[in-house]
Amino acid sequence: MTELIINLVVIIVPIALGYFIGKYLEKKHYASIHKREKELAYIPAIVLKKPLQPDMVTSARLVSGSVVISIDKFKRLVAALRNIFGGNIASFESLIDRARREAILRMKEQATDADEIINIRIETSSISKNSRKGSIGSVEAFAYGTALKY
Amino acid sequence: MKFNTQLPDDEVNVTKSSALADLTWMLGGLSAIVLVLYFGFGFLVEYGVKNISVEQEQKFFSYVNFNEILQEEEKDANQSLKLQAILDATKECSKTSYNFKLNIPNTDEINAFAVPGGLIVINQALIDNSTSENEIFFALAHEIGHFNNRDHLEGVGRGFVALAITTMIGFSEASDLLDTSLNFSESHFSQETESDADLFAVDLMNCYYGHVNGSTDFFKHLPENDNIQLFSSHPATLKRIEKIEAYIAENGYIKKDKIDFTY
Repeated sequence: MTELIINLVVIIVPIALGYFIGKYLEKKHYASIHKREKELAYIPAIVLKKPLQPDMVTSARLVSGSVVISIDKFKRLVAALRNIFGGNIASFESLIDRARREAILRMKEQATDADEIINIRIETSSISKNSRKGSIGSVEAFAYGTALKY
Repeated sequence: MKFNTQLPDDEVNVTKSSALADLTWMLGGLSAIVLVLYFGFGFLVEYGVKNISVEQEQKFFSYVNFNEILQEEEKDANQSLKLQAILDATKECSKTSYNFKLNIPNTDEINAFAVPGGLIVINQALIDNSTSENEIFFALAHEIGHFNNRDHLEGVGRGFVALAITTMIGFSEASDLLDTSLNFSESHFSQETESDADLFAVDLMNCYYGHVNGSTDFFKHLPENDNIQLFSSHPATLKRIEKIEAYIAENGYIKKDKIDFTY
């Protein structure tokens, strides 16, 4: 019985930590994202390949932002169970959503003086794809575009 | 063309659901499925083990060359002959139809175990640490007890079911949780069978030698740390000794001089 309890504690504690700390950090991150999105909303960020006013462009440069966010044990457990039953993994959706929006924000923060950022692309890659025991799962989001000044 | 500023919509890209409720539902469902599978197949294994004859078992496992897997490094041919002779002589007492074979790996761990098909593996360290033939006999008799109770087959069968279920679930936190619960049920099963095998060994010893002296010596030579058997399937050594002594007293078995192990 002692063995069972010790083993369960070893497994459950990291998952509980992942849930409570992970939830707190996610909340905090979203608060920061919302605040900065409002602050940087004045920079038009679009995916068109050509500027809205091509004749007025005076300078152009590449801006990029990237972020790597790790999953926690709780998210991984939910995802592992979802792998068996199927369905959308809500806990991963919020992770990717945070990563994408953070990458765009970091890109915008590089171009606070720009009048427009065009041709924005977002790429995601996962670091350590194998879900074998002990591997660290994390997602990278990389946003880049062309910052223009009129 | 005019650019319209719009903040990202929080409602669209992330499903609004309670992760904890999700987890509870899925874990509950999975546990139910696993329980049904484990007990269902466990029942089949138990039923199957009862209905497999010793002859069928020996024939089936004769195709597996355990000696090759175990890599026997025999220390002394005479020693093996002597132990084999003892094993053969026990047949009269044990009334078993197994043709026991021996494998004596030259390893440091004091241990012995039963392999399906009638193979008894006894580590050289166990023999080297023994003070009498009676003590070695107890270890052998304990394994014969496992054969007699068909524990070895049930162990293999249950292990196989547990492995199959874990593999099906895949390698993840979910299977960690599962492993832990299955291991617990396994070791619980083992603790009972270990005690049963001990008592069988005492009976066999009494039949073979006419007394039971040396039946608990084996436990005294286990390394100290083995006595704190938190993570082992073998019940705490002291408990096992107590149970054996109580059984000896209950049956009125006597103790005479032990024999040295010579060959």
